[in-house]
Amino acid sequence: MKHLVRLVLIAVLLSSVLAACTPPAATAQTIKIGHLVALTGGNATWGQSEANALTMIVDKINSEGGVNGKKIEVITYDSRADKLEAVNVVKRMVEQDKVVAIIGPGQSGVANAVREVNNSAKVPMIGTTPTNPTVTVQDDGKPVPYTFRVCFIDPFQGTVAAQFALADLGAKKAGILYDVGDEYSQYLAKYFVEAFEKGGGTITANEAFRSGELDFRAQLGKIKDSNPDVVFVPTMNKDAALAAKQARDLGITATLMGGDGWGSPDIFELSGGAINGGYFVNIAALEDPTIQDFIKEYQTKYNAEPVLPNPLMAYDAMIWLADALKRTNGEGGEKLAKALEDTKDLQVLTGKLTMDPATHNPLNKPAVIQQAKDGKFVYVKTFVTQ
Amino acid sequence: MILQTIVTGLSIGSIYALMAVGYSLVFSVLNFSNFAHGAVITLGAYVAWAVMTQYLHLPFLPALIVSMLGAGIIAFIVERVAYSTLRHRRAPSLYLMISAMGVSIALQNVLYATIGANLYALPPIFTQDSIQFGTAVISRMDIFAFVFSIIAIALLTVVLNYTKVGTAIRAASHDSEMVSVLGVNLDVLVAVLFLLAGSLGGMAGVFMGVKYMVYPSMGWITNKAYIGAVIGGLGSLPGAIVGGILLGLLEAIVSVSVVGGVHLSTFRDVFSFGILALLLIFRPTGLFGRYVEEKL
Amino acid sequence: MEYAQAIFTNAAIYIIATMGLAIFTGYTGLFSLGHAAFMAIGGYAAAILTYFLGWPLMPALIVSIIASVLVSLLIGYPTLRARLRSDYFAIATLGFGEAVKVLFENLPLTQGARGLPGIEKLAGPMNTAVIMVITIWLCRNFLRSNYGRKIIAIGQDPVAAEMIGIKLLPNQMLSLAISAGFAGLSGGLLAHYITFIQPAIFNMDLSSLITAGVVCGGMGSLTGPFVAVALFIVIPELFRGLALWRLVLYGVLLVVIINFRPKGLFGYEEINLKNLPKLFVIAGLTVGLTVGSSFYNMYKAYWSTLASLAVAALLALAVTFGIALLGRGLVWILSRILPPFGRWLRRISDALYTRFKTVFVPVKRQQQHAEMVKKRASVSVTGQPVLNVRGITKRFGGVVAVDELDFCVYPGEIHGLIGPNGSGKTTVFNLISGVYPLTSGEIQFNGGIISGRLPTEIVLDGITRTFQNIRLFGSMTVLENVQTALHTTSDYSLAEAFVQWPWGVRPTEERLYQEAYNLLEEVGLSDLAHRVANTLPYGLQRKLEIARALALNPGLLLLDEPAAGMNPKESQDLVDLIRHIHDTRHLTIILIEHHMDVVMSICDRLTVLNFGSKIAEGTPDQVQNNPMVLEAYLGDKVEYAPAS
Repeated sequence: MKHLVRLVLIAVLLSSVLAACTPPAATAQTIKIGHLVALTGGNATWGQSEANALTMIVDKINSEGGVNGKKIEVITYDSRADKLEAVNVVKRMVEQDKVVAIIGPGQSGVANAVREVNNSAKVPMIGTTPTNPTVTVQDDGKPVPYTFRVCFIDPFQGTVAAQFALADLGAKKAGILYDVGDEYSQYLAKYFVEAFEKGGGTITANEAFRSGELDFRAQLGKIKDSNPDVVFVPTMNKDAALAAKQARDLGITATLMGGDGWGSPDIFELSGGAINGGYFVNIAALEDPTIQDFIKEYQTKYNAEPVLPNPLMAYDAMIWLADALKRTNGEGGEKLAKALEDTKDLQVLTGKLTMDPATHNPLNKPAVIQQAKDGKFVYVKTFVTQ
Repeated sequence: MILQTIVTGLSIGSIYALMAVGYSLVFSVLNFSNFAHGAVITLGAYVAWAVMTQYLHLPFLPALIVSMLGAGIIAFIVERVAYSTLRHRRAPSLYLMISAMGVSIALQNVLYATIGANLYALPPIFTQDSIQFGTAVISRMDIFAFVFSIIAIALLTVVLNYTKVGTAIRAASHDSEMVSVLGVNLDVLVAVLFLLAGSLGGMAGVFMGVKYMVYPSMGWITNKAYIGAVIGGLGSLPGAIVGGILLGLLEAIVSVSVVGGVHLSTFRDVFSFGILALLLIFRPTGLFGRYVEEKL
Repeated sequence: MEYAQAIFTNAAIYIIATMGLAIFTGYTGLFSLGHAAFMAIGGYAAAILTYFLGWPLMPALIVSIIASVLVSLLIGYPTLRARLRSDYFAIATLGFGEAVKVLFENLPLTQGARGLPGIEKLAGPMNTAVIMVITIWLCRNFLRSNYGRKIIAIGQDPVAAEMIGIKLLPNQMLSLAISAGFAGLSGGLLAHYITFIQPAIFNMDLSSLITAGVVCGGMGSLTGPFVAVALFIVIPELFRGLALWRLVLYGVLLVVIINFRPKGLFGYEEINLKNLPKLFVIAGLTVGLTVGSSFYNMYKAYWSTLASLAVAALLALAVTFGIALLGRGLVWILSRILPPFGRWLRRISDALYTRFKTVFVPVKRQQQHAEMVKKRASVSVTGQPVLNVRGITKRFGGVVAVDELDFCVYPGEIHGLIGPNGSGKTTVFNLISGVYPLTSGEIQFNGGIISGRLPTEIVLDGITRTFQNIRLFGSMTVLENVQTALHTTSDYSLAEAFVQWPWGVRPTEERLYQEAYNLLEEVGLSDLAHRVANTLPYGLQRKLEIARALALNPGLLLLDEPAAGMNPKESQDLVDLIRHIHDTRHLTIILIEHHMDVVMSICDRLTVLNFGSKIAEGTPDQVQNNPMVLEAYLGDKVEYAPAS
C-alpha cells in the first residue's frame, strides 16, 4: 500500500510537470459558433449532410480571412433530435463553450424546446429547417427575440401543397394520414386542410396514427373507401414510406403527397419503390441552377450527394451569420440579433435573403415541388410567395 | 370495408401470434415472462438485414434460415448471460425481469451506437404484391407470412409432441423440478427452449423487416405480442396464437371506429393495454392458460 | 458555473423522482415501468396552472403532487388488489404509461403533440435543491417510522408481514402513492425548468432511467439510488461523445448488478462513514476519467497520440487515486469529528425534547405509553375453549388435506398437534390463520367465528404464528423485526411520521423500542438487538420469530415445528423458553412438533392427525399408549422417543 501511494504521488507530480511544460498554443482570436444538429437518430441523413456543408462554408469564410480577421470555430453537438438532450446541449453551448450564436436545429420541436435557453442567454439561434410558425413567433404575436430561421414556414408549405394538388393535379378530394404524436405532422396536416378547403376542395378522410406505429392499413382502408384524388401524408420519411407501401398493398391509386420530411433518398428503398409517383414540397431541389457549384463542390469533397435541404439552409445561415458578425465586429448578444434582423437583400447561396423583423422569417422564400421518380427526386415546379 | 378490416387484423395478428408463441414457450416451462424477447426479435431482423443487403447478399429463404439460427443463438446467449445465474439461485422473478430489461436496453442501444438509428428495409419478396379477394385486398407477403407462421408453429408442435426433447419440455412445463429429478439436464432443456423461442422470434423479426422496416426500437411492438400471449393465456401455445390474432383484429377494428365524432385510431394503444389490465385483474389465466401463482 | 448548475438541477429533478421510486420498487419489490407517466401527470398539472392561470410555482407543485397521488390510487387499487404477479404488474404499469401519453396527445387542453411551450422558468438550481433536500428528508423520515417499517416488511416477506397483521393492499397503495407524489413533483419541476412539456418526453427511457437508478443504487436504500442517478446524469455530460452509450451502460449495469450484486451499490445500507470511501473511489474514477479524456483531447494535436494517451491515462490514474486517498483522509477526519458532533446534537435535541415534552404531549398520552410498556396478556380462565375447531375440511382439487377435523384448545393450555409427515398439521395452521379458506366447517376463537376472515384480521383478533421455514424480515435488525410487529400500538399520524414531529413520533418510538427490547429480553436476545436478523444462528432466529409473534400480544400462539433442525441443547433451550412464556403470560399455545421429547415434555394435551383426520386425542400418556397412534407412526417409521 505504501509503495502504491508513493508511486501515485510520483505519477501525480510527473504528469503535472508534463502538463505544465507544453501548454497548448493559446487559441488565436476566434468566434465560437455552436451547431445543434441531429447526427444520429431518425433525422441523421439530413443532419450529417448539414454538418458537412457547414464545414465547407466555414472553411471558405476562414480561408477568405474570416470575420474581420477573426476565424470562425464551429462546435458541433449531436441533438439526436431529442428535445431533452437538445436542452442540455444548448445549455452547454451557451454556458460552457460561450458561443456567440447557434446554427440549427432542423426540427421545430427541438427549436421550441431550447427556446428558453438560448433566449435567456441572449444567444441568437438560426434554425435551418424548423418550419413550424411557432418557432420564431410567440403566442402573443411578437417574434422570439433571439430565434431566427432561413427556411419557409408550414402554413406556406401546406398552402403550396394544397394549391399544387388543386391546380396542377386537378384534385377535388383529399385524404390525410398524419402522426398525432408529432407536432410537425399535426400542424402541416392542419394547414393543408385549411388551404385545400379554402381552395374549394373537400377532405374526405382525416386519419391519424401514433408515433412508433407500423401498420396504417386500417386507417388507409378508410381513406381508400372515401375515394380521394390525393392522399397527403405529412410525416418524416419512415412513416411516409410505410404509408406508401401499405397504400399500394391496399390498391390505393390516388396520388400520394407530402412535405419536406420526405426528402431523404432512403425513402425509395424503405417504401420498396412504392413512393414512386408521389409529389412533395421541398425547400430546394438539386436541379436548382443557382446551387450547382455547391453541389459539385460537395460531391468532390464528400463523394456523395447532399441531402437537401439542410445543407443549403446551413450554408445560407452561415453566410448570413458571418455577414451579421462582420457588422457587429464579432460581438454577439443583442447587437448580433439586431444585425441579423436588419439583413436585407443579402446574397446567399439560394438567392437573396431578406429578414422580416416582425416574424424573424425570411421573406419570399420559394418552395419547390418535387416528384419521387425512379429512385430520384425530380424537380417539378417552384412556388414563390403565398 | 369490414372484410378489409378483418383481413388487415388477421395480417397484423399473425405477426403478433408468431412473437407471442415465443413468450408462451418460455413461460410454460420457466414460469416467467421473457422480456428480452423483443431485443432478440430486433437482432434477428438485423441479422437478416446484414446477410441480405450488406454481406453475402443471400436470397430470402437462406437469409430467413440464417437469421432464425442467429436469433436462436442470441436468445440462448441472452439466457446464459441474463437468466441462468438467477435461475440457479432461484431468484424472484422480479430479478429476472430487471435482468431482461437490462439486456433489452443494452442491446437496443448498442444498435443505436454502432449501426445507428438509420431505417432499413429488407428487399421485398414479391414485386407485384396485392391479390383482390372479394371486396378486400390482401398482399402476397401477408399470405406468405401467415402460411409460414402456421408452418413454423405446426413444426414446433411436432417437435414438442414427437421428439424426446419436446416431451421433456412438455413434462417440464408441468413440473420442472420433477423433470430435473428424473435426470433430464434442465440447463440443456432451457437452452433448447430458448433456441426454439429465439428462432421463432427471428422469423417474426424478418417478416417485420420485410413488411415494415428494420430499426433499433422495433422491439417495442413485442409488447403488443405479449398482450396477445396474455389474452390467450401465457404458457399455452394455442392461446398465444388465438390471443395474438384476436388482438390484431381488435386493433384493426378500433382503428376504423369512430365514436361520437372521435376517431379511435389514435386511442388504439389504450384499448390494447386496457384489455390487458382487465384480463390481468379478472381472468389472469387468459382464454386457454393455466395461471401459476408466482412462487413467494 | 452556470453549466454545472444546469447539470446539478437536472440531476436533482431526477433524484426527486428516484427517491419516490426507491420507496416503491426498492422497498416493496414491485416493479414499475410507468413512473414517467406520474411525472407527466404532475408536469401537466403544474404547467396548466402556471401557464393558463398564472399560479405561482409552489401551489402548482402541490396540485401536481395531489394529482399524481390521486391517479396512483385509482390505478393502484385494482392492480394491487388483484395481487398481480410481478411481471404482470410491470406490463400493466407500462400500459398505464402509454395510456397517459395517448391521453395527453389527444386532450385539447394539453395541446397534443406540441404540448405547452414557453412555460415560465420558475424552477432553478436553488429551489430545486431545496425541494430535493426536503424530499430526501421526508423519505428518510417515512422509512424510519412505523409506516415505513410496515412497507419494508412487506417488501422482505409479504406472507410474514400478513401474519403479523400488516395489510398488503393499503400499505402497498400508500407506497405507490408516495412514489407517484414525488414523481409528480419531479415532473412539475421538470416542466418549469425546461420550460416546455410534451407527451413525447415522458417515454420509456425516462422510466427506465429512474428504475435503473433504484436497482443499481440498491433496492432498500435511499442514498444508493441517489448516488446512482446522480452518476447517470453527470457521467454522460462529462463525456458528451458517450451520450449514445449511456443507455448501453444502464443496461449492462442492470444485468451485472442484478446477477452479481442484487443489493446494488450500497444495498440495504445507507451511505455511512464505513462505505463512504467507496463513494470517493467512484467519484475519483469519474473525475479521473474526465480529466484524462479532456487532457487527451487538448494535447493530441500537439503530441503523438500514444504519448498523449499515455500521459492522459497516467493523469487519470493519478487523479483517481488522489481523490480516493483524499476521501480516506476526509473519512478519517470525519470519523473524529462526526460522532462527537452527533452526540452533541443529540444532547441538544434531547434537552429540547424533554423541555417541551409537557407542552406538546398530553400527560394522559404519556401515562398511556407507560402502561402499554408494562402490559401483558392476561387470560381469563373461564373453562370455555379458546379455540374450537368444528368439522373443518380442506380439499385441494381432489386431495383431502384435512377431513372433518374437530378439536378444542382450552385457556392456558399447551396443545400439541402431531402426526406423521403429510398428515395435514401445517394445513390446519394455515386454515386457522386464514391463509387458506375452509372447504367446510367452522373455527371459533374466544366464542367468535373466525373462519372466513382475512388472515390479517385473524392476527389482530389475537392468533399469531411462527413458520416451519423461518420467515423473518431478514435485512432488518433483530429489534426492528419486533418493532415492526408492534405496529398496531403506534399512534402517530402519517403526517407526523413524514416530518418526524418530535412530540408525536418520539414518545411512541421510544415506547416501541422499550417494548421490543423487553420482548427480546424475554426470549434472551436483547444482547443481539442490533444485529441484522438473517445473520443470527438458526436457533436464535426461531426465538426471534417467537418474540415477533408475541409482540402482537396474542391470545393464542401457533408454533409450527419450532425445534425443527435443532440440536438437543438448542431444543432444550427452546422448551425452556416456551415454558417460560407460557407460565409468565398464561398463554395458550398450539404446537406442531416432530421432536417427541419436546412434545411429551411440554404439552398438556395432544391431538394426533393422520391423513387429515384425528386419530387420537388426550394427554401425552394416553396418546403414547394408543395403538392407532403407534401404528400410524411405526408404519411411517418416524422417530419415536417415549417421554423420559
